[in-house]
Amino acid sequence: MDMKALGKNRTQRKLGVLVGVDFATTATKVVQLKQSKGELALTGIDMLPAVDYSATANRMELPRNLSSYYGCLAYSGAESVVRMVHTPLPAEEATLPETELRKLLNVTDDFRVSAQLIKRGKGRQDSSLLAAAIPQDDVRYILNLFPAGPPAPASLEVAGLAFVSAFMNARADECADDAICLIDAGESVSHYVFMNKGVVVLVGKMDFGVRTLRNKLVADLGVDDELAASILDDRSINISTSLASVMAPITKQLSISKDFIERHQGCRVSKVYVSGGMSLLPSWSDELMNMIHTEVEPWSPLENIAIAPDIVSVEMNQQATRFAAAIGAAIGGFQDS
Amino acid sequence: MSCPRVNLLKKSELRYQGAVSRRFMLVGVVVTPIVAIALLSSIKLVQYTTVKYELKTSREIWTELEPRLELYKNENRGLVTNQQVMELLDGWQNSQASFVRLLTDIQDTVPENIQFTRLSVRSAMDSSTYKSPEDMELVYNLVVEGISHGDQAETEAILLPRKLLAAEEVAATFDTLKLASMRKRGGGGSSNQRDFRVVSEILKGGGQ
Repeated sequence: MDMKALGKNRTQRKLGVLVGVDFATTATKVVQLKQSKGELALTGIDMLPAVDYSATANRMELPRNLSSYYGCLAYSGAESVVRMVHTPLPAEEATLPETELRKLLNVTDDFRVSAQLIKRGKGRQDSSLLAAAIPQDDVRYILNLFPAGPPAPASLEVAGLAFVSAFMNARADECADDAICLIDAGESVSHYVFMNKGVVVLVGKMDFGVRTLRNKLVADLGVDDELAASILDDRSINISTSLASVMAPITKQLSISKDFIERHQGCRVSKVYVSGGMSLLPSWSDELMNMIHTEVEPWSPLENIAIAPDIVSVEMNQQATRFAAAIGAAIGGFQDS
Repeated sequence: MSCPRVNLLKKSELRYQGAVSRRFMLVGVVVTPIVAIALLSSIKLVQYTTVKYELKTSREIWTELEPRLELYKNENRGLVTNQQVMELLDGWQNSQASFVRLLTDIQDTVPENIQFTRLSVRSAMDSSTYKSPEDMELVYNLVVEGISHGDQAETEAILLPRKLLAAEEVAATFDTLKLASMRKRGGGGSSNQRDFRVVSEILKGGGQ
């Protein structure tokens, strides 16, 4: 993507095939997407072992069917920070200096920070920027996974924001005029994104995931971690009480955010779309719907994407929602190219 | 509808990746012409060195041969001059009349009643410069004076030029002969005698 040598802007190159990689807690999710005449097609999908950020980074060898010249990466680490920041922005500037961003995100110098302008304030109004930060060490670790050869890293996003691109590809038409909430809930971290008429208005991260629920069940029921996972999967036992107690602070945060958005934006959040590993738990969506009194609907990042024959197995298709960030990162790469 | 992306990679961390590596492109775009130029320069340098060596060798050979060539030219010029002289001399020699045959023919032709008192054959060359063999050809002049006597003295004197020209050598040496003068001889004698003088027209020699 270094287009200096070719005399073009880096972002202007048209890419036909991209690999999306999500370095998640339980697995590294990899997809290969092909774009042809505006149509997206899934040409490869796989789930590789999770990376260990505490170990030395070795070159990551992707399967041959997932090879591509460029890769769009998503980071799912618990230390990531995402936030909408509202601040004065000079007319000629598109973003803030890193020092100011670090202050607004409340992170130290050992964090890599970046921001994207969402809405420029008129007159003395503050501008709204979508900002994110991840530890520098983790950035270096991820880059060292691809030191040379394909895929060359083209972008690195926080997974809690990358999945929005996948949602927009799948359901943009459905909520173009509505206010909605997206929740991507993973193993240890969940992100929520409020959008009004297709524009991001609020983002947040919650230290809450499947692991939180398992730990609660382990504590409440006195079972081991494996059995707790099984109970969560098959709902063999009524765990509503445990779910309600552990989700109370989460639902409270979501409810407050929802009310804030509805008052601030003058709208009504019509639906909550859930994705991620937690959305596969049959009990969770129902509990969430009961708690925030809003319709909750799972969605699949494979919607509106053509799938090459024999690419996605039945088991992988059931797990498709876990690939929202990987697919979203690749789709974002196509939009930027 | 596009959604905002917060890319945390810096521009310096982006790198090119394609079917053709940047190194290969660099080699293709930059190094190949340089190598080609270097190769052509080497070939031209070798050619220049070879030509320079050949030139040096040729100059040495020329230095050695030039005096010989000059000598050859001088000798050739002398040879040409000698050849020209030889041709001139040949022209001169070829224009020589045979005096023995000329006098023999005249002796055989003269009738008994005619007595020569003077026979003069003179030769000279027309040109004072001799560029061709023709310039060396001799021009002969004949003067015959004598006495004719007898009854047919006058007739014999008149016919003498014609009789002389009938001889082969005389005809080859002179174009024409004419009776320049004839008069009756005095002295009181009883016989009929005539003094006569026969001269030739100027003619370039070429008897042989």
